[in-house]
Amino acid sequence: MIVFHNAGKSFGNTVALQPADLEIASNKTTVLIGLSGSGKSTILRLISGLLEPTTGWIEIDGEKLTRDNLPDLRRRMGYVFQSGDLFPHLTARQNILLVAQELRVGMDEMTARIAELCGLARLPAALLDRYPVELSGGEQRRVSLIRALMLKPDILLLDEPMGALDPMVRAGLLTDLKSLFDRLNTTVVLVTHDLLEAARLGDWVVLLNAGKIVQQGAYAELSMCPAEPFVSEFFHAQMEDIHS
Amino acid sequence: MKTALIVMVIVALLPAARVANASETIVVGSKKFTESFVLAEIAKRSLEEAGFRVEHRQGMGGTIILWEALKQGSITAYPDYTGTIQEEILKHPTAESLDAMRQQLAKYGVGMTGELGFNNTYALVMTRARASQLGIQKISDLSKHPELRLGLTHEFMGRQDGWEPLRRRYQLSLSNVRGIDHALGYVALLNGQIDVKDAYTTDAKIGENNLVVLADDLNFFPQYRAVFLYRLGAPPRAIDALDRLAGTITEAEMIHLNTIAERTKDYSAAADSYFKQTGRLGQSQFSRFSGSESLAHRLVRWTVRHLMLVSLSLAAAILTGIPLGIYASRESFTSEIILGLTGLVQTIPALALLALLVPIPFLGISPVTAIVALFLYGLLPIVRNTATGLRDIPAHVRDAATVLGLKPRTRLLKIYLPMASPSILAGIKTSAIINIGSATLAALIGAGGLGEPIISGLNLNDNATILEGAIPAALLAIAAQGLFSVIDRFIIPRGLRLRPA
Repeated sequence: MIVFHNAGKSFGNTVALQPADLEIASNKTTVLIGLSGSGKSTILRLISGLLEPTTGWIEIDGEKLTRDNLPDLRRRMGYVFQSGDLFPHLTARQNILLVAQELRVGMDEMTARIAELCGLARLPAALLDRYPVELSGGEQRRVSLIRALMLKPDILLLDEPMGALDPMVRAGLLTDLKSLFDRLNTTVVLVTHDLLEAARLGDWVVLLNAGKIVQQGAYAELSMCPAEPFVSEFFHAQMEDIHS
Repeated sequence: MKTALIVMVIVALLPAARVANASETIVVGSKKFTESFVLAEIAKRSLEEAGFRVEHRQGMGGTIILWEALKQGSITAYPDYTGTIQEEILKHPTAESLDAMRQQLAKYGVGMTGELGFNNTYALVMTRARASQLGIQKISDLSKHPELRLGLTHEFMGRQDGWEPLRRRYQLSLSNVRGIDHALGYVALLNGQIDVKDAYTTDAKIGENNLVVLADDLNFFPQYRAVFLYRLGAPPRAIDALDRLAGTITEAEMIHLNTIAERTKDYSAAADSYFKQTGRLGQSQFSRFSGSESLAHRLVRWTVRHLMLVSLSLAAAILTGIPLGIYASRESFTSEIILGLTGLVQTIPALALLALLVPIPFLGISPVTAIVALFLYGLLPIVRNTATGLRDIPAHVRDAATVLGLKPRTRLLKIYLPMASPSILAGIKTSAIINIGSATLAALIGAGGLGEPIISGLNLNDNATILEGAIPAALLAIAAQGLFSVIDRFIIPRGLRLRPA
């Protein structure tokens, strides 16, 4: 379980995330949703230690996140960024193996793990020796996902993994992610601005606006019982998009 | 790739080690004009006759560079003139006896031979046509023609007995004064691009072109009697060999020798003529010393030396520049200082940088000084391109590397540096090409290379000789460009060279 204890982040006078208490359940998929600048990515960056909170603290499975235990905790996390997070000078396989090699994981074990993950993420093994520029956007996301899952993380963090993909590719990836999350049985935190993703993937949905958590609960709960006018506005805006 | 580089460095180091070790060899220096070359060549012959191995470092820039080299011991002797010694070295404004000068020079461990027998003072010259057209015969006549265009050597413009004091003494109001190389100045004078230039009274060009030497009617110019300066610590037999030359060259003879040198484009031919006249050296010995080295031989020697200067300085610049660039890629005050300082070095003209380095202990007149100067020049492109290449790595790539939990060292070596490699290599390429060009100036401090023919050709106003150095230097630059395109293919990761499908 990931727990925010009054944790907040400001950059000078700009508040990225107002001090918040938040519990992210283990082995469930939590979706952080909101407009850009709402603070949803900030939460992800605080969990991964890319940012340090300016107020409060964060606990992961009862352990307070500090600079000292960050390297160890990071080994238990996988992170997928929006796009272009693959290292362009390395092949897909080299990207995937980078960390395992640094930890001197045995070759047989790595080969087996890659085969397993290619199956799970539905990436043809033939693509592994291509460079990122030689892969489509969807294929790149799948490689990035395999890289994040390589060391069997307890926590998988995804920052708009389907941003910048065309709709067809996105639909396919969404289905695959859904079945992947179901089979992995790990803690997933996914950031998106898209309600469809929240509806399909989220066991728990946290809606943010202007650095504040507005409402959280199951998707249906937010949809049926909006706690604030903003919640219904947010839902309506996207529904209109779909129907127009 | 790495081994190839190391082998290259070692091979390049070998000749440097030899030069540094040649303590038993007597090194004669000369300034960057014909007469100095000829006198040094004569001294070389005389010393060889006395049984020494002699190296003539030709055309080592101006008085200060040679004087520093002599004091330090990078050279054993060089020809100079009493007026210059008085004004520029001893900084003594009034003429003194030779013995008084010797006493002061001894404090620096330097001795002086007797006068060689001629006075080569400065003079102002004009073409006969222009002088008679304006009715100018003496320097004071110039005050009537403030519109005249002067082209003066840089040394003459800066000297205590040069242009400024001369102008004040004669109260001249000429303002159209340009700095120009001595040999090129004669071309400009004969073409009518300038009206007046400074000259040495023994210049061959004066007689050849029937130029008018303006009379020094206020007796401004001091006496410039030729002598050799030498280290008092030199072997006594070597000092004797130089002393024997005293009183053996008259003014007319010197003009004759300069004329031979410029006509044949060969200083050793002039030295031959001197020894033939004085009958000191047997005919059989000539062939051993006269310029018998074939063109191919010379080109190889110059090019090898040139490559040594460039490759050593470039290797040092790479080894220092990349770490500095990595450091400077972080936004900080120190980074700005590093980038600022390396940029500052680039603004110092190459010749000035060499002149600044020469007085530093352990450097002096040697290939090492040239390598240090080239190293400093080569630094900026490498430091800047390394820093820029690293700074340009997108933030999300850095974040991805960080959250993967890679160690900082792994991130740098396996991700950031390979991603910045195109930029870093471009910096190294720029450095290499700049250094191939700048290394031609190394000849000014006797460090050799393709600058040797360029400088001596400039002095002799001989384009063919200039091209002997300039063409190979240009070819080297083109070859470097090609070599680096090949190296790019090996070093820049394939993933960065592919175009998106």
